[in-house]
Amino acid sequence: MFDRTIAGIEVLKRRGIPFIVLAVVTEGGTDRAADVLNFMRGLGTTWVGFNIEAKEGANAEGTPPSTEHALRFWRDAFAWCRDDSEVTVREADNLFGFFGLTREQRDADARHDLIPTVGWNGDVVLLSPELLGIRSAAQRLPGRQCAFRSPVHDPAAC
Amino acid sequence: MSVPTSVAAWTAAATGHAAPLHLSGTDSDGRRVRPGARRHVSVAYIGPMSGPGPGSWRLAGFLPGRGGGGGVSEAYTGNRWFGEQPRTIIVQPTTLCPLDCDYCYLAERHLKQEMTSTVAAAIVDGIESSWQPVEIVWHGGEPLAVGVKRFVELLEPFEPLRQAGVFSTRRRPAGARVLPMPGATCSSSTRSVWASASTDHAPSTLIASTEVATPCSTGPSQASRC
Repeated sequence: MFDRTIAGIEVLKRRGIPFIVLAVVTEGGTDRAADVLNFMRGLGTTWVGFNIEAKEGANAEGTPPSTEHALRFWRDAFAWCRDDSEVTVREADNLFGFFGLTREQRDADARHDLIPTVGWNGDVVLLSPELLGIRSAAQRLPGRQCAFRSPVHDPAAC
Repeated sequence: MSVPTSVAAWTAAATGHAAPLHLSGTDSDGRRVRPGARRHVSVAYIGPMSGPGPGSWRLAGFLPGRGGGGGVSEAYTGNRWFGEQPRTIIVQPTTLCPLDCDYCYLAERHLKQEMTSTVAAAIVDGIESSWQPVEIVWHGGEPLAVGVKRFVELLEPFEPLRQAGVFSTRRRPAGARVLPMPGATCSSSTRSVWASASTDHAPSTLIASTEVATPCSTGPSQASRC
């Protein structure tokens, strides 16, 4: 998988097509923020976004990093951003941008975008594509896999 | 399936406690609403909001129409928590992802289920002419797994909007290049953002920025906020 991704990036670079990178951080990566960011810089991207692996949706059985692990990653990533301006890290950029707003600007920007996601078949979910394909027990269609573990989750309905 | 007619129902859909909304549904007057069944397709540009009101938050024709009264849009607009229109619409051209990472949150990524141009057209049809520019994010699965032919078919309904320069993104990565035409470049990505930058470039130009996911799982919506 890694090799295929890198091969794809090489194609983009050969064709002069700019790219940016999103990466999921699993527990094993949480103590390697600087390594990862240096690697990203070496790839030739100018923008990186990170998502800490989350136990959600189809990844109900995952083992995402603990809060302590995540804190370490972000602390190191922010420190890296302080020393390196070649690569923008989404999360740092968003946060610093927010800090730079006036109170009035923050208030004006406070309303959430519902960000509708339209699925392949016309299903629509709001707020995040992570919710695609997720159904409550009452609404789940027969034969569907049970991907959502809510507080009111009913295993018998899966 | 009937369309939820309250913000609570939307919230339920958003939190996974109800079935997702469908493009095909019943509006508040009991009329059947289907993709392609809209009355007009004359979206030539996206301008400033004329103000909150019924119908200002219709998407893809599945919400109650103007003057529906008591519908989602009416309940939705004017509240303090949500914007009056989406700034980003995420589109899933296919569920299939060749990378199939085990930590991905999306189900059915091993299935080849592809969006039809009818659904794509319904999305375009639901973009209100009064809206501010909307960012269209081609998400996945792997969006390019649909192949060039189908991807072009899916992009075509958006073309009038792109031609008018109505897609934009809030921020683009530095160095994003202007490409000659939509679909001219496709790349290995989980999430591709296609947008014309109406403020910086001629309307007919297109910026394609590609987020190549080292893993295929993408994070929450904020990914599109770059």
